[in-house]
Amino acid sequence: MKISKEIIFALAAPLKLVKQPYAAIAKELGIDEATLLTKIRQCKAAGVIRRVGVVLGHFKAGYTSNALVSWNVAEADLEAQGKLLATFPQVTHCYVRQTYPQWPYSLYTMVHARHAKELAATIKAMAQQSGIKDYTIRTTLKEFKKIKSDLKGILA
Amino acid sequence: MPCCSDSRNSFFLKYFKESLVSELATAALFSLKPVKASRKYGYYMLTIKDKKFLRKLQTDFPLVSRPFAVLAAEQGVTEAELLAYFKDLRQQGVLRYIAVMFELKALGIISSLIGMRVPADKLDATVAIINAYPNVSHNYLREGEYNVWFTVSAASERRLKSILADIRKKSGIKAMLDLRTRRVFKNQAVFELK
Repeated sequence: MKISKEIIFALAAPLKLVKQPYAAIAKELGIDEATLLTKIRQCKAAGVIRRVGVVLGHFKAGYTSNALVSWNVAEADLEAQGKLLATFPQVTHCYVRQTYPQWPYSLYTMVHARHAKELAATIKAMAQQSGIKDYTIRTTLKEFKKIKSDLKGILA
Repeated sequence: MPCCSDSRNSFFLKYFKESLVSELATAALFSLKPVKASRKYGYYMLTIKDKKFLRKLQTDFPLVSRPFAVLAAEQGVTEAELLAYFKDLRQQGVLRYIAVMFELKALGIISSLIGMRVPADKLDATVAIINAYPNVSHNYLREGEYNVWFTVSAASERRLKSILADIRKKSGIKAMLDLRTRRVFKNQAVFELK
């Protein structure tokens, strides 16, 4: 799947709230709208584009209690446990990450809930269903930065 | 969170002023109403209809020439009304944006989660150093000994390492965990909106 940096950068900006948002991007690129739409569909089918959709400000949509929960899972169990924890609708991110001798946590989940009680109950259910004994809860206290990935900055 | 601290009062004044406009613009189909808890948290109550509509659009925004016209027809409103609705949602912070989201890995981008142990007196300066990089998309203060957690992405291993070395050098903080992404089971900031 080939896609030029020019197209990536043009698509990396949020869609304009106008009648023809894709036409606006195509115009910038000097290509026609149908070509751009075909390109987006192809990229989506190839997995280069994850999704096209609305992104909600979860805090204002009512999800005010969040935590990063890291789990100590043996290498052999990562597949099953990762898949299990990912099934929880409150889990938006579920990643396997590098461990160190003094840092054994291998599985990381971002858990979003509407209040502290729901957050605690969700994490408890995750622990019970997975049977994982060693885990740490890092509640979100403050947001310092949250931006859409700056592809221009990263790929520059 | 940016919406709940100092700006809370002005935020609500602003909301009450705008809510009339908002309701007029969208009364045909949608309505946004503040919940009782909103004084404390500053969030909006979405109606069941809003939620049902938005839930699906998180993963499936139409890839057609006039997406808002298509959605408007489905909802029995005009294209202009639906655009006004999205603009309201955006203004109120419920909608961050509508976008095409790339799979960073497919673009050859590598990423990591970094945990740092930053003493209180160095917090502001360290956060400013970290946030200056376009490579950092998320940065949070969290409970625990390691208290600053951010995500960093780069086009190469070399670049990623050099960014982390720079942050260590500039901040003077040695305690840094580089938790490279090995596998992704789920990456979807999509909400159930129950």
